[in-house]
Amino acid sequence: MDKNPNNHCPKILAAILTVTFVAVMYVNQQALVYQMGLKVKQNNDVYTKLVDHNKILVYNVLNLRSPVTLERKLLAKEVELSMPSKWQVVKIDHSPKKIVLKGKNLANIAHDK
Amino acid sequence: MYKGTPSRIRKVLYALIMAFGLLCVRLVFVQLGAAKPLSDIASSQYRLVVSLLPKRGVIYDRNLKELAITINLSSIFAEPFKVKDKGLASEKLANVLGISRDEIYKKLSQKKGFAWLARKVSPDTARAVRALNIKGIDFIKEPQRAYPNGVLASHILGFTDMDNNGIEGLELRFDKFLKGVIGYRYSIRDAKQREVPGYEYKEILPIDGDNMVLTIDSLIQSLAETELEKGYEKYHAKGACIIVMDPYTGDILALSNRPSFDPNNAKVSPPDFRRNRVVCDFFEPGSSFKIIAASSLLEEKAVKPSDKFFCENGKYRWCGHTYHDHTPHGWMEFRDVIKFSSNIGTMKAAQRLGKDRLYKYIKKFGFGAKTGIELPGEVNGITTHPSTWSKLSLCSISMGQEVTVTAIQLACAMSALANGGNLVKPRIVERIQDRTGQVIQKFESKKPHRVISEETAKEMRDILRSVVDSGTAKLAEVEGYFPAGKTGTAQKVEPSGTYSHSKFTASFIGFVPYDDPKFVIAVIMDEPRPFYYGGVVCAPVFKKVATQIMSYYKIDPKLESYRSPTPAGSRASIGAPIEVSKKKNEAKKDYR
Repeated sequence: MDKNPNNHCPKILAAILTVTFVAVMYVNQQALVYQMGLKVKQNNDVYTKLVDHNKILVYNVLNLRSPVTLERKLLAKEVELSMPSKWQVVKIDHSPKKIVLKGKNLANIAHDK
Repeated sequence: MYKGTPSRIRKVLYALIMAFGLLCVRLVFVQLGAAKPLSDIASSQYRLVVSLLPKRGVIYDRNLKELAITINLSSIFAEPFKVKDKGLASEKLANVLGISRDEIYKKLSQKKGFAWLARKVSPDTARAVRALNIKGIDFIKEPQRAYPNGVLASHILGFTDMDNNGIEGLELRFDKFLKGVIGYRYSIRDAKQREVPGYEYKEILPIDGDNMVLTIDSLIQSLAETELEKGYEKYHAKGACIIVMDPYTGDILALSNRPSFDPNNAKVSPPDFRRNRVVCDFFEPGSSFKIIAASSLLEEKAVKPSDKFFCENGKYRWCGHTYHDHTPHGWMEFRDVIKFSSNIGTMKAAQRLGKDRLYKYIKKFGFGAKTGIELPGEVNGITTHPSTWSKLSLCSISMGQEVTVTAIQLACAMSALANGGNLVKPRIVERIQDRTGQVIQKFESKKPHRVISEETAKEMRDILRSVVDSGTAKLAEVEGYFPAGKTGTAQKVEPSGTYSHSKFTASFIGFVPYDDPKFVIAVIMDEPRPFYYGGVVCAPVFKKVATQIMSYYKIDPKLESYRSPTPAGSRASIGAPIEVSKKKNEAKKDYR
């Protein structure tokens, strides 16, 4: 066996360096995890904020479309609606069936003329 | 080694060994005995459990229009020890939040780590508070139930409390489906109690609440509420309610009460306003209950529509009690007894039926029992057993006294006449489905059970049509649609036990069209003034609602005019006293 203590130095040094490297890498990894977590949290916060804002907007749209609101607005504007009499109702039949003749739409042709 | 060492050093050595020994003992004790509690204390200092709130389910109408949704709003809290100038902060916050300065100052002066200042504030308010930039004032998002249609269908939907638990209506009845299951995120926190991102070690996701689809049509609901409101205001009624129902399936298309409340701000309304009178209140129905006596008489063939009854010219003494008709009548056919709502004619006819058979039909029509509608707080009404009836009971019950019913029971009974004799169970919830649209529970229409034959139902429809055509409910007439129905004007019972002469319950329950009924509409008003006849206060509401519903469903009016099933000669049988009394009682004449 080599009894000269100086011969152990490179091994100890290497071991210390390895341990230090592993430790630094571990700390770095933890820092990265934190940074990524922070980024995910920030993005999630933005996403949640947008979703919440969207929901509030949807609520406002529903509220504006609500029959109660519409009626209140019409009353405020003094618009009075009533059911039309029979003579005031125009019944529109279904549009005529499209007849395609030799690749031409007859309905369109008639319209063009 | 220790040879020659001074005894003093040796003593120190022993002392050190002993101290070390004690430390070893303590170590063993800590490691083996107290490890768990100490470890728990340590972990509680850095571990963090975040509650993940589920989204409460959406409530839709039958056309999938949202009636109740959930939005996230900011709640404002304070960490009092972090707020430096409490006086100034209170001043600023009071201006924005609309709370008194003293109240805020009191909260900020508490020796607590946390104090709510305002919960679930509007986005504008939250923005204004954020702009103040006060240290120690922070925000947290909380889900808030929101009803975009305000008062519309408020008695059906109900409302939730601050913690999103259902308090009334369907929110209460189906709370376990709607609320969902809370989730948790396990993470760690730093010295400032903040969650450390990226160190979440366990997450149990919340399960959102299920959505609910109702049978209500929000447009019909809206127009029914509008017309009910007008009638309620016009006649200064104490309360009012309306039901629009499909007589074949029992689907409730609209159901409303007055007075009403806004579920977005329910706590400001008195509890009386939040009561769903349609299912929670029972009342003596008066003449509208004559449909039960008439149906059972016809079904049992105890009378024929053409049988004649002498209506005693409006005054009849029976068993020591005098009964009156609002308008005196002489001889009348049974169909006219119902058409003109003669109490005397009805009670005379009911005597042919007997109390046991009348009671049997009252029960068959579903009175005295819950209808089973999915609304909380439904009551049975009161129908006593014939064994407890007095000599007067048969007469009184046949004309809607000594019996109490709910509005929904009356609507169901009328549905049975409209649909050909089958009693249907009313239904207000169609299905419950999860977020992906998968049906969790479907509320099928229950198979109706027959209470009267089709022929009897048809006879009743004809009689009820004549009530609108030329009887007590002329104001319910809808041109081209030929509605049918029955009016009711019941005296209310005073606390002393006597019938009031100033308080009435007016009702009109009808269907349209009479020969192919599409809708049953029940309108009831509690203590209307100054007019109180069902044919005056409720029939016009029915007419307006029916007209609009028929138009909404694009049901074309019929061009031919209605031909009364009453033979031409039958009206001649109505004696002379009617004509005299008509002149005398012009205001009362037709609208009982």
